[in-house]
Amino acid sequence: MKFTIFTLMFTLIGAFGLIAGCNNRPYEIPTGVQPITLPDLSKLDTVAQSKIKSACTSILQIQTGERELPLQPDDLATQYATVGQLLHAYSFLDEAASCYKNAILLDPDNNLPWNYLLAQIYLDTHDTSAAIKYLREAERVYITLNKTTPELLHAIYYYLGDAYLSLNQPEEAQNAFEKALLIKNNAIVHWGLGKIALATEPETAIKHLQDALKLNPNARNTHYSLMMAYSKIGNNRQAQLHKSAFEQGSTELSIPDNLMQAVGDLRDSPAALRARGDASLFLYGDYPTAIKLYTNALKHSPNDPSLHLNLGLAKLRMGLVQAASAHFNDTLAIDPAHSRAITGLGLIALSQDDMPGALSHLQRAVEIEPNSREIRQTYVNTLLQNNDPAAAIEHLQHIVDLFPADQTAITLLIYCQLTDGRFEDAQQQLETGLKLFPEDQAVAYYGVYAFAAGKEAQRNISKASKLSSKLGGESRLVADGYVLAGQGKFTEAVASEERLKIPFNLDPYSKSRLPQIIRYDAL
Amino acid sequence: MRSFFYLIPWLLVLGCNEKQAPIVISPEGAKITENTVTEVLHVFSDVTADVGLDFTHYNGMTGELYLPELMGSGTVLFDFDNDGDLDVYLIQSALLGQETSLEDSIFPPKALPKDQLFRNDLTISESGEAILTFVNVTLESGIDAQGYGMGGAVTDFNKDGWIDLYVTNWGENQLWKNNGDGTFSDVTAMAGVESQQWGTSVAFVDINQDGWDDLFVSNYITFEYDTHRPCYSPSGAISYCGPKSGAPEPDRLFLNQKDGSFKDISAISGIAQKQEAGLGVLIRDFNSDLWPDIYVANDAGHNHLWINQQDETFVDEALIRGCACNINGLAEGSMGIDAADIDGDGDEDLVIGHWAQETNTVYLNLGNGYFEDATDQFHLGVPSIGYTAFGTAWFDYDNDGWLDLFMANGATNFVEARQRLGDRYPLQERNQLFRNLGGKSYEDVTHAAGALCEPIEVTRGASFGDLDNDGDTDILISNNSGPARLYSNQIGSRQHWLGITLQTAEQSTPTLQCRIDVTLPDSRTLTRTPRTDGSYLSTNDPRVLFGFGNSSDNVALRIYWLDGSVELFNEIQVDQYVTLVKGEGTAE
Repeated sequence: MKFTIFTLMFTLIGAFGLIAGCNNRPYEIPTGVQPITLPDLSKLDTVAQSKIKSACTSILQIQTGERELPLQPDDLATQYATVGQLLHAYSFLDEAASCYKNAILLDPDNNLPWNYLLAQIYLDTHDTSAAIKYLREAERVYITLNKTTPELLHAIYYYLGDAYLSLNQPEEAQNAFEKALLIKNNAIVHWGLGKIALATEPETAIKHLQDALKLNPNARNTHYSLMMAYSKIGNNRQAQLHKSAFEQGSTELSIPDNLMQAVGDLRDSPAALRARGDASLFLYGDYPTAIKLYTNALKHSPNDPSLHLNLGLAKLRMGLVQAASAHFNDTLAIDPAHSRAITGLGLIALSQDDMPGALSHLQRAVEIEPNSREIRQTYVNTLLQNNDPAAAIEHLQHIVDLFPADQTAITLLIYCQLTDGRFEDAQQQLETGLKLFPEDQAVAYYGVYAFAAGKEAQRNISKASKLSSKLGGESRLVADGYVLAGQGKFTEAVASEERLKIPFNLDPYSKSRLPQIIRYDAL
Repeated sequence: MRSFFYLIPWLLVLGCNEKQAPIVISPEGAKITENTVTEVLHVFSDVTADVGLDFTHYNGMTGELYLPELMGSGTVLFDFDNDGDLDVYLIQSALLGQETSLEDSIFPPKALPKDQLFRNDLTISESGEAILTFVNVTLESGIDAQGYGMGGAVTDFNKDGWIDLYVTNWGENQLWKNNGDGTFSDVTAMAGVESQQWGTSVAFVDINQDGWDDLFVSNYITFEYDTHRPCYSPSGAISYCGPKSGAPEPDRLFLNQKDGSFKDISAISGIAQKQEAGLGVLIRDFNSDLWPDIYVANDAGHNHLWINQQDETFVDEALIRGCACNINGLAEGSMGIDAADIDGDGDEDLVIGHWAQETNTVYLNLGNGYFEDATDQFHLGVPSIGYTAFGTAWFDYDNDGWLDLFMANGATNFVEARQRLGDRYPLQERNQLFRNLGGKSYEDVTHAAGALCEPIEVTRGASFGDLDNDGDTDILISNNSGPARLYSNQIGSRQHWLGITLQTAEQSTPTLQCRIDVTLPDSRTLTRTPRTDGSYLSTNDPRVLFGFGNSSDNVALRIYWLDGSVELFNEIQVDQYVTLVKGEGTAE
């Protein structure tokens, strides 16, 4: 028999009504328990669809009366909660919320996790007031039932604090964070306290934030807030220090949350595994987890080239070269023009000293994806390793055309132009390079050579000397040699060269010849 | 048993004596009661059809979920014929895909897609009523723009007295020189302002104060058909890719050479040293040193605040000045932007439109160009959750002297409720209007905005200007794969107002970026800055409108010119447009 949604709703309401009024019922269905419906699963992969439908079958049959009610209400609650967690995992938040609410009502003695997860849904959907309500309820249940999972209570208080903060209720936020600290001295809570004070009491904020920093020195969030606080009080030096730390930092503060982790783990359909794998690989750098997730995903979707590729990338980053190579080849078997897989094979060939193989792969990758800076730069690096700077010029110029302030590309371009004897081109490029990167040692060093060692008409010894004076250490000695040689003072150039730990240019100088440029990295 | 259960609910319903109001589930899931009495104010009316603006945006989608089809396009307001009213340029996109034809489109266009130019033939009737009429003059203009259009900016780049137009594309941008006779010429190559990248918002700005406008173009990410791969939402459903699916492209800065050409100084100016996915551009003097700075809203990356170093170079200080990311140090999906003095303290405050799962952000200027996230303080955070905001502006819709806020919304992730209805492009969202409550907070007045916030569409670009010259701000919006709409303001002109155009003796076209102050009888000072930039991919009215509520007193205006001089213009009568020329006021 086919039901319209509307009819089904009334059927379900009626069914519950009947159950509620029936003298043979095993227990009363509490007021407020609402029937759930299956959401539209059509955008999910078939495995996810099947899993969710299967999980929902029992509860839907109970709702229509096709199946008997469980003997105990907490069993019914568990069923709702199980379905709720699965729907939560796949982002059907409205339906998940309904399930959690039902579970809460049906099992008041054990509904702590459902209150917490319901609050998480409301935090996700930014219904902060509702989130606070359910976090408070979770707190109450925890205390009443004398639970002994302090991590959960700590998380409850932290999220309460954060929620009150977003509602501009600093006192309540402070109260919640302080309670969290009593349970665990955690950097993220200190950060929260710092944020409360940031607007009006920056000095107080700094104290809290410094406490956070002691517990987690690399957290970007803390450095950002400290930058803001120091800026507010006019301490620009400290603000700049924390700005740099923020820009270089790689970790974000987080709070341990086993309940949400468990929900996340339920997402194990092929597409969800892929999405989780992507997060592990690209967001968190968690390669072992990424490998596990992609491997599982591939069981369902063996012909998905992106899964093979990313599995290869994860293994490559773990140094599992042979395995990575196999996965890249699997990618290409499905998608022969996959530039990233070809690049991966190129890198592997390079690591195995197969230069011709590396060059061949990378050239092909560049042809397929000509505007990728990353791929082209990889190719350039390989050309340079192969001592072919002349071939690298065209590619470096392409990068610079697209990314006119790319420091690596500009510096290497100048080097390659000098190696190839294109002094005029190099000098032109130096104009930009020196303006953009006035403190860059490599650019200054190449500038010395460019203005000292070209044809007579191209030389500018004064400029070369000025640039040389910016350098230090070995590079200064080498550069001084260029300047002297450019003036024909080869004897002095030899003397300068002899002061080096490893002289490079004694031979040409002793023959009164200008030397080839030595790459800055090699000094 | 089963049939019994089926019957009971119907019995319960039939037996129910309580009258139930019908409920309509809106596509967004919010419940609206049909028979609720609502206040009908008609603040804005949709006059699109009445005035002859017939344009439907075509995004070229064929079902492959290519990223460009998500972005929409902008709207341009400018007076190309120098007749004192704002004409309209609407940017069109194009077919996407390799080896596809228009017939493969999910929504095929009626004609070959091209940008359209509409001339404003505003007339005043004998009774004094403004009659707004637009005439499509695209053919006569010579503008043949068939690229994948994105944004536009205007200025008189060659100082011949006629406003020119620059259009960005995913692909080649175009510079259209106004010939002064109703026609335009493509001078892109000659001017040296070609760009093959994904251009988005764009603005003209005189970075070196030599009197010649230079050109800043923000760029998005690399996107190519050959390397396009499908993307998935966290739950695994196939979805549009986001800004991290391609490498961000550097923005470009072109220096006007004063001879009809420009020189690309992107690298040496410092602008190209950082790359993010640029979408919104704003020009202001944020640090009050009388040199224009450039703010760029970036999608899923830190925003940039390029502070002018006064030597044709810039340094990004967004992070240290507190306007690169949100209060938690997290970059957000930033699209449209605007800056103006919302709290009456004389400095420019920022608003940025964000992605649905983020709030929009208000960065309050603390003075001298340092900012603080004040979104929650102004109650503009929570109401914006669930909406993806694009075109935006601070503007005084009711002319009470306080700057209100409009957000043009349209999703970038499929709206499930719309999908369930079988919608083939389920990204519709309602636009929002917020009223400024005395500079302290904002009130959501979307329900009272009239036609402006009634349709639920995929809105992107928005231009703000007084198209009928009646003293209040109208709004022109573009919808992604939908009609352009002109919303005429019906209430602003009922209050007293003053419209200002600034000029210098050297140039007949409007002067921008000069601060204008008006001190009211109650000692409050209103500060406004004429500009055409901001919003999303769009261009605004270069005039400034002041609202004075019910005060009809003459006013004094203080103008802070770009060369640092200050002039007072006294005893200006309200309820009119005036042009103030540098040198004709009283020097201070």
